[in-house]
Amino acid sequence: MKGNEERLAALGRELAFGEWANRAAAERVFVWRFFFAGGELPGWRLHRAYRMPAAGGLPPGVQAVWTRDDGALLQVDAFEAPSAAEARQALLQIAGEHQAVGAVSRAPDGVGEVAVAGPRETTLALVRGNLVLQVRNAGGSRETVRPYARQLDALVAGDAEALKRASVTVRRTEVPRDQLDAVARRVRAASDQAPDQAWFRFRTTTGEVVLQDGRPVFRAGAGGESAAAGPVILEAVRPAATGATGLDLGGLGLEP
Amino acid sequence: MSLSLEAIKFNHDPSGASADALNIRRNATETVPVPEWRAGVSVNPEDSPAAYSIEDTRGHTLTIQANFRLTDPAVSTLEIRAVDPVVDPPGPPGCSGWIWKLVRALIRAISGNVLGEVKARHVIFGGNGVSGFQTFELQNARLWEVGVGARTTTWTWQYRAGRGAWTDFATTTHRIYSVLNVPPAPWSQQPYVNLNTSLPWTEVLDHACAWASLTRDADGAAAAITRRVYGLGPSVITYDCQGGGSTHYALGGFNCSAFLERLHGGPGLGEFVNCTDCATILGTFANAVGCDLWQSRMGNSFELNPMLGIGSTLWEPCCLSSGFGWSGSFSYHEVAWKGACGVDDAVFDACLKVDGDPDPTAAPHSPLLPVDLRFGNPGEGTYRDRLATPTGRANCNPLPATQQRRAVY
Repeated sequence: MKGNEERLAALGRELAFGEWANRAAAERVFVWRFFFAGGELPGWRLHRAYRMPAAGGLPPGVQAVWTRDDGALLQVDAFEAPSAAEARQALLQIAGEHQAVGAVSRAPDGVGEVAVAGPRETTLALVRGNLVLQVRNAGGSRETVRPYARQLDALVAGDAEALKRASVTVRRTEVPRDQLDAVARRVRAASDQAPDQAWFRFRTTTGEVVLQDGRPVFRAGAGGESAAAGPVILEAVRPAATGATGLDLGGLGLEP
Repeated sequence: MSLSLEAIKFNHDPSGASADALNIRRNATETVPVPEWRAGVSVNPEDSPAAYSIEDTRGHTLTIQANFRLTDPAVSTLEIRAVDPVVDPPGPPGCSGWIWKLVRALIRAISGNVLGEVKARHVIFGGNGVSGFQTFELQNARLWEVGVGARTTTWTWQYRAGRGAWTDFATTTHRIYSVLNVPPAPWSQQPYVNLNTSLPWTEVLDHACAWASLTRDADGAAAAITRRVYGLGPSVITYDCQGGGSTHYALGGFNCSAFLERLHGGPGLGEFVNCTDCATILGTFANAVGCDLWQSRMGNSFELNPMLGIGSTLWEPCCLSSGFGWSGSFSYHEVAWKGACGVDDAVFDACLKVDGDPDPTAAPHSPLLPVDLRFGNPGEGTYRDRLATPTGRANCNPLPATQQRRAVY
């Protein structure tokens, strides 16, 4: 965000941003067209989700409010950055959106690839691949949000137990890297026709998938991996709550 | 003979704002279709909304367009007009009569007809009995006398043939918003298409016009809205002590839809706000009624004088005793700011009250909501001195490069 460079630079030093800004995870996850369907946080009810346009230097995403029977509110912001590096930059910017001096610190490992937390972990923001998730109490509770952040992170990462808990089904296919562009075009067309029925996850162990001109493309790493270096795993994640009936991914190996 | 009113257009020229209504929409997802009033569709005033810029229409004759249907083929021309059916009854004599008149005048200023009457003109009907949209001038409009507001205009439509008596044939009601100027960013007038969510929202105008009701200039309107936004605490919103003062509603863009839901009693994005949220709410709602405010920051990392954060009744450097690790400093602060958002420009701060007495660093405290208060230099006793401690003031500097008007969604 323009004009905040000096403050964010200082915050970056406090959070050792240089150490994790470009540190690649062993498995690179790229999440595309993420949304909340309602089953992601057991015990909570999805009240409403808003599509956030890209603005103020932050990528687009979804902003959701969850309610609980005891009156507690939970706010979850999910930003979908074009790449993992830009997600980490967005995490720093989000950390900078706290007025209290020293409010944010690096969260202990165990949630996200990297995470920062506010006082007593009543707010927690993490990065998983290109996705930034921020979980915050929004009223009626002063509890730590770490358990909820972990649940969402596990879901995004594809943890089997988390997927089961959230009642989502995952269909997986291997896409040769030289065919990724064609497959991504087909997935985009199908998803445009039936939005918010499935979100998509790409996994690679070398190079990475990034968003370019509105669709995922493979970008070789510094090693310049060849097409023979292995396929990209593409997964369609379908929350049961959507009833997902209109999404036509025929022929891609992603059918239910 | 049967004459019916089919439709009325208030915004009949989307490219202009001097003689007709502004381009508006209801909210992020719903538009305001033109014609705004349609027979059988528009029942209540809010079904037929229109907004006018007081400054842009000043000195111009307002016009509307209306379409009629006539079932008598023997009649080809009628004279048509619309009058205000509200007639002030005569009050009691003497002193109480004057009070009565004042009360009536106040009620009309707050809620009454500001568009006056539809001036009579002859309308020619085609062979199919339809007039097509005909332009009518408005007369006796009071738009320029009553200031900002959201009011109801009721018209009784009448016709006559030749020099005969007028006959009533329709009554219409309309929600008329009067704003000071064409709303600047984040609002826009163009492109006038359904996808443009930055056309002024009537759901925002409902609140902003009520908050700034009867004000006649930008500073007065911004001050009134500052008071009302701050007054939302603690029942609607409150400062985010537990989250370290994080931005909830204005993270990137402004989730105005969620804030409106909160105003209407729903969860919205919850109760917590910080300075960025307050500056954005204030700037967005004030600009909807024609103010010209920025959201801009000051910083970095400065110690605070005792204050009353929104929703709090405890004088202390922000959240110091909350138990959530506050040190009595802001890493940054954001307000609604005029002009170039610099030292000499005035701020409106809906997030906190400062101490307005000669010594803002210590008790006793005299609560002062910063409205149209010059930012100033250290030692001048203006906003900067009231917000920051004597040692903190050097680090509390305007950051005009941060000025923006967050897009609404």
